Amino acid sequence: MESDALDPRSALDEIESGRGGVSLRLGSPWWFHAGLGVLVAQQALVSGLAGGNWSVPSFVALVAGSAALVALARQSTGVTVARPRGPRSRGLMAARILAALACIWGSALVDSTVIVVLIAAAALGATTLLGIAYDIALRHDTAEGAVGP
Amino acid sequence: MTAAPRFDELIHAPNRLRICAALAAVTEAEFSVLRESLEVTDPVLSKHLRVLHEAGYVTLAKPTGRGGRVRTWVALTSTGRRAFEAHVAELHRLTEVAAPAGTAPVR
Repeated sequence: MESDALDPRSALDEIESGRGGVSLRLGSPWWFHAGLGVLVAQQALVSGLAGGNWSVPSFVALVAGSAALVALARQSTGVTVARPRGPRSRGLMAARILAALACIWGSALVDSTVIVVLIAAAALGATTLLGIAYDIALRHDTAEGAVGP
Repeated sequence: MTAAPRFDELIHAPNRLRICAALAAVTEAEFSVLRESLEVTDPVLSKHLRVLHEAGYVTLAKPTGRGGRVRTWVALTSTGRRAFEAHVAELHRLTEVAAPAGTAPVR
């Protein structure tokens, strides 16, 4: 057993060092966020333009595609974080979910094809950018030692 | 952090403290990611993970990937997470006790 005795302050410094080291490795590859954006965008397009029989296959594609992206990102990064680690990452996770739902439901309420396409494009952009912002917030929250609820 | 303070001799070793701190921040991490994050060698990390594993503080999973490549995934168990949180709480308590009046203890 390792016997180097650490005083409490040095031990807390070691903890901060360990947490800081791994926090730099957190986050998903760019294609993960873009892929999620594409999945949300196709769901918004189907909600606004096709609906009916296409809604279920589109939803299945969203769920299965998301699961596949999570598995691929896990293999790519070698680290997983199942939930936000603090107030900033929690806020951005909520914002990303709300933006996706607003785009999917919002597109079902409009009649114009052009507007539906614009909403789908907005869904792609918002999901991607909020995902990247979430990763940055997650790194900050983790390095600072914030914890989830 | 709400765990009752409790000093844990096994976790307190410097490398194991850093390993536990890194694992407490994530759900799971691959061995090589942990090694690079903590800037330690393979044998050092293996040795400390074995100690933590024998204490029931971490799980080691080795699913075989494509082409037979084996990657070791490491995660804190709930027992390990509780022990680490209690140890950190105890370190904070000791720091506050040791801090002279008028000085702020470390976070």
